[in-house]
Amino acid sequence: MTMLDNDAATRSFSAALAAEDAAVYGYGLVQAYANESRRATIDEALTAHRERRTRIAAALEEAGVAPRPAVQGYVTRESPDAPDKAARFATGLEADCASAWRTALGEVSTREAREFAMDALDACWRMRQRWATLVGDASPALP
Amino acid sequence: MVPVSTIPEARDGRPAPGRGGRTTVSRRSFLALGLGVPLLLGVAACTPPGRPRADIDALRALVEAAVADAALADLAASGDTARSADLGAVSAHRFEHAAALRDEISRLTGAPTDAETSASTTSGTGGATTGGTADIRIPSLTDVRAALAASAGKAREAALDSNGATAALLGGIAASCGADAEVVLA
Repeated sequence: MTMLDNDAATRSFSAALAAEDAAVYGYGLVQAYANESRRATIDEALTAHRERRTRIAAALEEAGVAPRPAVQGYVTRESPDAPDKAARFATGLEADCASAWRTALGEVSTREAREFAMDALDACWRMRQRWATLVGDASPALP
Repeated sequence: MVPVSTIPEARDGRPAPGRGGRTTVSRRSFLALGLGVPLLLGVAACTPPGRPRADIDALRALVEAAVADAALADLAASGDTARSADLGAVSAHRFEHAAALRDEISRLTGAPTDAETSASTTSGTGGATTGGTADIRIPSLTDVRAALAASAGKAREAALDSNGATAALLGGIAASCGADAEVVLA
């Protein structure tokens, strides 16, 4: 049985894939402007987003849905051109992914897909809090 | 999961009469009439397909955990001035979780949000600790972290057993508790 067994599930995973794509692209910008001391955090985040992207694409293919090609130019917030802005930009990337995964958690119907979405939501929200903590920003109560 | 036959009002220790004017039957006579189980089954029948019938009980337990965590964080903040801002943020998060869970319960049951308990979650800090505060050991940061980690685990399990908007909310709460335990209070 495929992990994504209905249209709502594949749609929500496709949306999450777009958010993960945007994060991979966005971290390229973060990398360029963030403090050198953030290198390890950025690498850790990038690795996580890339791995999830690969696994989502495989799940969508298994469900018979072609993963949508990444849309370029999807970063709509202000471009980060200073270390603090880079950290806040990363906060936004992670919040967007967490939001997509929270939505997906409500749309999927198999246990496997729920666990995937839950783990991804956990990971993205934790990373979001790490960036927010670095710049001393407050955090909302929910993703 | 809590068995469906458990009557929430009998478990949470609050008197049934006068709770927001929702009922005119006392808890005891309600049970004596044997209405509890059929009513709960009726509630379960109204929930979306695939939703475990003990969902409402589980959500109520999560409300109580959220309120308890918030009180714990507030109390810890009073003894740890260096981390009081972080603990205050965590407490605010947990109060918001309690409110969101209560809204979700009323959405699922069609009953209005319990005004009495809502007030206790929005009236600010320390509501759950009034009386005998001087005798209470001030919890440490580690205590709060442990409570949040336990709450994250419970919310996660409930999320995986739910679907739709309930699952999304519970997942969000699980993620928030986990990040608060491991990042905000690190």
